[in-house]
Amino acid sequence: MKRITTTIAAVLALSSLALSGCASGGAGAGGDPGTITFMAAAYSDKTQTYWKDLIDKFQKANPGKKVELSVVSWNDYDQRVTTLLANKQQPDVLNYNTWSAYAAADLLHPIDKIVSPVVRSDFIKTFVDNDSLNGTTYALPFIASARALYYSKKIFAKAGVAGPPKTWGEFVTAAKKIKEAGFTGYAMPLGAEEAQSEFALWAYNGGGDWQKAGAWDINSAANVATAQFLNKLVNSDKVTQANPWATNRTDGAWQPFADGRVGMVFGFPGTFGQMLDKAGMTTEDYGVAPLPTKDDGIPSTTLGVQDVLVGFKGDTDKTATIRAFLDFFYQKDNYTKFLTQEGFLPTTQSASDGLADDPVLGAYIALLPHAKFAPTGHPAWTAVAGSVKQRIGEIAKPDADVKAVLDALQADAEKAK
Amino acid sequence: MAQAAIPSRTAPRLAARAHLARVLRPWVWLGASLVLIAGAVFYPVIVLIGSAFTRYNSIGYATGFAGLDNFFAVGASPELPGILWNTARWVVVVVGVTLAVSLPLVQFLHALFRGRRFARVALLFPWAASLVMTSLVWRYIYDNYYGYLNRILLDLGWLSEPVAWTVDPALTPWSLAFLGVVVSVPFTTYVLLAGRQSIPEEVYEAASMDGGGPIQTFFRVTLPLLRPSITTAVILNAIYVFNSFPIIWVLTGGQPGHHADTLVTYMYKVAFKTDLDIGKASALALFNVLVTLLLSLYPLRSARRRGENARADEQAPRRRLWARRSADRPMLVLDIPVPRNSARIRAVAYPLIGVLTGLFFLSPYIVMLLSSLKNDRDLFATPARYLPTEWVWSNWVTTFQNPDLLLFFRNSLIVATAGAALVLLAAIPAAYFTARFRFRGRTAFLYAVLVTQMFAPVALVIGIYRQWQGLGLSDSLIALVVIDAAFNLAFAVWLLNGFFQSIPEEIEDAAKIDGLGDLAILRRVVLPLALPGLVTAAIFTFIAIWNEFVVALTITTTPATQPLTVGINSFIGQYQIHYQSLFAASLVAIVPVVVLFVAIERHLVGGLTAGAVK
Repeated sequence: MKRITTTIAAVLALSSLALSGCASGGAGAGGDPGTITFMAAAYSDKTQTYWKDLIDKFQKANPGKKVELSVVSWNDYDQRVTTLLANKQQPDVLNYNTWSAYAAADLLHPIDKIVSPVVRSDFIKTFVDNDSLNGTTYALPFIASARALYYSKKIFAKAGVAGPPKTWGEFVTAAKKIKEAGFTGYAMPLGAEEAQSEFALWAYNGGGDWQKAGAWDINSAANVATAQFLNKLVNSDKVTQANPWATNRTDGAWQPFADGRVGMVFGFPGTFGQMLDKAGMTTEDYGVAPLPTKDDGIPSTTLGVQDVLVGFKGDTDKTATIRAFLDFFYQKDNYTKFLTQEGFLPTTQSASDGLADDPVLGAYIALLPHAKFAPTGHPAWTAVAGSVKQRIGEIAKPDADVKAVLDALQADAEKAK
Repeated sequence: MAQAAIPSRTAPRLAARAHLARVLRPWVWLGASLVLIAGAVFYPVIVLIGSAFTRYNSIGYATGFAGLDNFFAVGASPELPGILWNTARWVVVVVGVTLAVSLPLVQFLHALFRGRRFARVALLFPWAASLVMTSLVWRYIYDNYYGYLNRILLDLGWLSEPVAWTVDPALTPWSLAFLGVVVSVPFTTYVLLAGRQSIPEEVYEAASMDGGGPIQTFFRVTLPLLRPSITTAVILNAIYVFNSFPIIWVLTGGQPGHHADTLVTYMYKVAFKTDLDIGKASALALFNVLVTLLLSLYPLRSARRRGENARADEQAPRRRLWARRSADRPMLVLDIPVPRNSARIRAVAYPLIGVLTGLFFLSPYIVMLLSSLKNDRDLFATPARYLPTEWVWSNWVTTFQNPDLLLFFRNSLIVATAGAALVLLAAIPAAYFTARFRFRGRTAFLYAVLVTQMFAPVALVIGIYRQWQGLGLSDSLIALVVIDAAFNLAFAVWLLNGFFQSIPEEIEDAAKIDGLGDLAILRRVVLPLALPGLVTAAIFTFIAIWNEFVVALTITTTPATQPLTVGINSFIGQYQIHYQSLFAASLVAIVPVVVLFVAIERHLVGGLTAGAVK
């Protein structure tokens, strides 16, 4: 017995030692102000090469400055970020889709410190506003994207649908006709990959939102009605593919559309655009339209999505190196190359101007200034988005109590720190 | 008779042994193992225990002492009962069905027939392939639109419309369990096959003379004699299945809710996806270890007790037999006598069943090969296309033009080879010493080694990272080698321990009389006799390290240090999985392991024999 007690005491003592070990430390790459670490997400299998080349060029142009790169696949990204932060070993520059919790914890450099005024003033205002907390901007708009309704002109013709639906009523009518013609009316990806976006696209156009006056409003009457509408599409109208709650965008919704099996889907340029190209589809075969709304009184709203770059504070002041690197990246040619390679929309005015004449991107770029964003500025958004991704799909299941699902999400959101 | 078989020990030998035990104290023999465990396992475990009692904020910073709050939070989770039920069902079904499938398979693969080698090698594939990759190809096979399974079943007329195998909550557990069984059967079968081969054929001759039919013989003779192997196989498999992460995560990780989660995937979600709460996840991980401990200690103890009771009458003649056989290896093929009337049916049926069995286990990898040669349209065609309409050989060219792939390959080879060598270096003395000498702490040591297996690696990543970052070795091959060796020590120690025990002490006693010291005996007498066991341990460790993913993901950040498992993850983009490249690289990653296997398959079976018995 005595030995057991001693063992437990030893383990507890060591545990506290191990934990105190994490109290010190700071951003990675040690104390050399000329060397920074940069963790980037693999948007595609070409991302790593892009960053490697860019860093090579940067280091040649800036002797004495060094960037240590690590590219991590999106699948493992959250685990990697959490592990680094729990050990206070965050990189000096991080590419991510959320930032507010870090800003609230005072871990981030305001962007004025990590890019030059020229770059700072080049960002489109909507994005900058979305990246601010209490009047200070903490995240650099990195890439953007917006959604639109893609419809198959061939299937519309076969089903006798005249044009893209503008309201939900027209949408249901169109979807039913398409179903009668032997196709899937609408592919609804509510799988955990990006379910929060799919839901938001419907919720915004149903008059709802995630928040109202800064407070969570997930289970609002408008959102419950939207969820009921979606459930009805799946289970009584049966105009969607099977099992929307387990469908992710790429293989479950976009690929079937590219294969000509689905009449309508929400998509965006980039990955989806490339898939359509690969499938040999042109604008002869498909059309792009604004998202349908619940009724004429609600203006069609698209969802703006942006990923960001943030600079973490460390023990050593590395802002000079960070700024040099980020200024280099945001140079018009370097930045545009990344956007076109990965198929994203720009967040800077200069790059937007450069791409405004692009036949597909141009239309989207016009939409961007009026897009609505997820409340990424709220410190709890990371956690809320996580649980929404995991659970919102439940609203599409047969016999789902959609109100209960939204109530649970609302409760989670209110609890989140 | 048993009494006569073992010559009674004489006083001088006892004195010599006592002397040796004094000089070469346990610490010397167990030293390397203890250093490995203390160096690589202890710290992360301590961090985990600490985390379970710590409060964290949502960005993962520790904010204070939490007492038992994290455990209360686990207990209060409304989804916990469902997850416990999922976990229990998952472990019981997979382990049970695996055993039920493996037993007849063992009987079958033990028989001598044309094509047996093919069936045996094919059976190795699911074991030799990285679990993450096998899970990915099954995700593709199971898909309700473009999956092969629906296509085949529709073509056979067994289905009238496509089924959502991994999506429909009623089907998902069974689809997951099916895959769990497919990947567990090879290991279990090989352990049992080895045990089966150590049963003396004289026993069967006697049974046959007494007029026992095949079924009677199986239940009355084979099953009781296989019991020790079954215990080993079931315990190890249960631990692996319990902690298995990739299957469930890859197939259902992208779905809402917790209808498919087991404790391990739930823990992962709590830590990194939904709650972002490291404290609660750590508490879950500890709970996890506790369950595994309870699950495995009881059968282990009773098995040991049984083994010790049985030793006097049963083991002695078998040991003698074994010693005779190992002296003139190979001892491999011992066929059951074939009754004449069924011989002709066998000559046709066995090869046929053998080929079908082999093809079944190979089929996912054939799908991998075909898919790697498809274009996108074929890849996602509904219904699935068996063959590419256009054979895109350039997929392979593009894949291997990636300059980093060679680096990944090199790193995997270095880490797996060095890791396996390190494991042997540490495990041999420890296993030998615990097999030959009784000393205080012997059982504690063996269990401690086993306990290292019970921590799901996902639960330890934060501590592992902190330790090696602190040592300044976070992005290094050395760190990977040491960590992987430490976490794979258990199998080697337990296997070799059993193996050494089954080597008759008489041989060593004779060597001692000739004046050899303990080390010399180990090197010159014991190790040559134990060669099959060493080969088995080395191979098993090599595979485990070759396929390791979670630790490598945590420790390495650049292509210069990343192994294949992590490196080929770059083919999984944000929106799109580059299946063609992923599959091409995965297939190449399987090759070295299979070649190694084929080269030593004979030794492998011989080797597992002894380890399984104890």
